[in-house]
Amino acid sequence: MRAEATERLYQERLARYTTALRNGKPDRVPIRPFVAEFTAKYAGMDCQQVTQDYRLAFDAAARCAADFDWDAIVPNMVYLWGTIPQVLGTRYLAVPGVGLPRDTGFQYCEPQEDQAWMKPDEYDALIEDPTGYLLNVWMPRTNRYLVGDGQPNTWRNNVAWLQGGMAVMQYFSAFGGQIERLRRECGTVSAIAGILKSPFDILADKFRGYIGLTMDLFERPEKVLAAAEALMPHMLHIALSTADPNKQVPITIWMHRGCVPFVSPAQFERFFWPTLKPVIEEIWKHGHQTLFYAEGQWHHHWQHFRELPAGSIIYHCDRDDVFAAKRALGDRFAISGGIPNVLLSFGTPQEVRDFCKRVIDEVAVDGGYIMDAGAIMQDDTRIENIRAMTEFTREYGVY
Amino acid sequence: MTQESKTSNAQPQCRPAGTVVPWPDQRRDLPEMTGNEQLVERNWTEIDAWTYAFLWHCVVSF
Repeated sequence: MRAEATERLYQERLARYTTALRNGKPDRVPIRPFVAEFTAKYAGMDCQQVTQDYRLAFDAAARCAADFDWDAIVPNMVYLWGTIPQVLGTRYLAVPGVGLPRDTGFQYCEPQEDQAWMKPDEYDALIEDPTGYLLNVWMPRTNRYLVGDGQPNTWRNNVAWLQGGMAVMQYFSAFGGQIERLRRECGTVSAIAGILKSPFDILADKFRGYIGLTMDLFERPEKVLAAAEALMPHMLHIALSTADPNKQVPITIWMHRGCVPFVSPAQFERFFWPTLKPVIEEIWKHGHQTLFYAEGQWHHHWQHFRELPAGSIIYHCDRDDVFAAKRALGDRFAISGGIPNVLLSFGTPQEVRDFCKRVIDEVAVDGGYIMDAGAIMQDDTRIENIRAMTEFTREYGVY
Repeated sequence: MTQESKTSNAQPQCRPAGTVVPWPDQRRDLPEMTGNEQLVERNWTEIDAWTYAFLWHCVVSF
């Protein structure tokens, strides 16, 4: 009987969540917090435990989902399993408990401009054969155990490729069980499936670095554009191959530094948007929505996002004004997030309730809204504030 | 006694998205195909897709 009740709860939540994703009006506002290291804090763990042992991260996420009764969560929003960079010797990642304090979230380390993972004269190699460039140049350069093409082989190289492949396969294969566990134990929906980054962000984040890339925009703009275009089919392939086969929950694009003021409006229009928009349109043709996880502020570009087919994206507000986002985009796309992380970390429960009331009244008013913070929640988020956001939304956010 | 083909160390000329060693390149490295080639191709393509996923997830996901 309990299993049947939990499955019924799951189906109710799935309908509530997917209705809101498609800009419709469900029975009440769905609650879908992207909780990362917050799960460790709530479950009595530290950042090292949920980063170095994905099984503990799964446990912490499942415990939060059950205790807070959320409609949907990410199965593991900490997302990095520290063993993967450990076996490869990844240079750009620092993980808690190994070099970092065990109560600090993992960190990306961007090198100095002259130490960028991709050299400025390597654009042609990337453009000609992106996968070959990854295999032969980028992977050995970013991972200290791997040996580049033409270099003398080492036993650590052999072991690292083997362990790296095994680790990624082990980790990704475990997600199916975690998604099923959330459904079976607490009737919680897995919020997203599939990953996407913009080609421009990949160039900035992982190849040239932000400063290097912005210099390239002036010194070799044609190469930047050609490289972004060369990455497009690969971004599309990764997104579709990891997407929800049932086409219910969205692929997520994590949007970093392609917006004003990191680039100018003209650079956005020349480099970022033309190499992302066709990917989103193709994903939509395959029947998948894309969750625009718009980190920072992207309001300068809302008029471009409106060019996309209605319903093809869900716009997630981080530091944008969520009320303005509703006015600018709400007729075409659902909105999520917008509850300021600083409020959830440093405000009071009453301040959280007051802000949530305004969001429910003005943004969620006709449906098409999913309750969430602006950005993923780490261990500085106050438990009583998450509880206030959850309980208030459940009580007040009824249509 | 089977005759082994000489394994090529040349990089593939064309690597579409989803592949690291595309089937035509792998096919050239194999001995005479005496059985069901589609069976071999399907299984090669599957494991090659995992390899591709590993490489690209290192860039995109982590």
